[in-house]
Amino acid sequence: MKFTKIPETTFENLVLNAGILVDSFTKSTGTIGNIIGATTGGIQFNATPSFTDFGEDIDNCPKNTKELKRLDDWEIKMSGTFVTVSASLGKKLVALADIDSQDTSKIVPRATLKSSDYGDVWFIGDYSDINDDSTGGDKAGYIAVHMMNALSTGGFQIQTSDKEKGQFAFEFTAHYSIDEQTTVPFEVYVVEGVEGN
Amino acid sequence: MNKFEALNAFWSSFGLTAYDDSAVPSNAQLPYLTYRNIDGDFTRPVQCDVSLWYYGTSLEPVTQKAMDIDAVLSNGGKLVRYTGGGFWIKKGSPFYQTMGDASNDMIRRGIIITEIEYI
Repeated sequence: MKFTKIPETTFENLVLNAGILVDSFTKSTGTIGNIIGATTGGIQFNATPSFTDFGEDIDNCPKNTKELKRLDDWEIKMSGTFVTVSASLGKKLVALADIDSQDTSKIVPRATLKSSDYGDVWFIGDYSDINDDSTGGDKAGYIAVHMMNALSTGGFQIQTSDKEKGQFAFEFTAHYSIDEQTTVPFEVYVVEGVEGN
Repeated sequence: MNKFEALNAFWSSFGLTAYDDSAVPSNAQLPYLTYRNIDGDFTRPVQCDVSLWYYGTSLEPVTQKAMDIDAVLSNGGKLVRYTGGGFWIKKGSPFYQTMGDASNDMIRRGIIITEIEYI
């Protein structure tokens, strides 16, 4: 059948496995910072634009006329479920919280938001058929999503179950900055693996 | 190299002679590895069972070989290319278990379950 086929580059363009969430990433070297937590069920990222159709109320103007469509903003979220937790991750999930200075196991929620409650979050996933740095010189490919000014908007959630691991559902939302209002707070990198000599 | 040759080459890369489990020669020398020679379809993984066959009183060499295979397949599995495509081989569950052989109590056998997705 003529049109039942897949691209010849399919093998080179696959994203494999669940990926990881980290607090920093150096694109030039592929070096990750701290892994935020172990996850189950994979990680979901959504960047959804919302538009205003200025032609909507114009007589005789078809809906979705491209010249009259304008972007309002982007809603950018990363969600999933952690199966590990620490005091620092708990603080991050509570969002408006501090670690007690006398007792570092204690997370103290507060009623006011601070700029330090925001932080970048990176999703990094394996990409392409070259996905290991090897002694032969191979450089692993990756897909990376950079969320800027991420804040935990899903709150702190625990779900336990008999004879099962505890689960901590999460949702992070990226935020614009008033200092850089035209910068959309996410970036995506798709980097192909490089075969060594 | 076609997909079946690539599968044999992969299983032969662990220092043991690898045989299709339906075609083990009568003069095959232990230790060796047998695998289920199986094909599949894009997005529909198939199970590929592997057996490690050793002669002796100890399971230690069997388990060590299983751990060598585990090291290659951990962290998401391994992609193997062949002419016209490739397959993604991953650890199955349960990954490894041991058993004896009813015909000879000196044979030590390890069974490994993997999952293969042909792309």
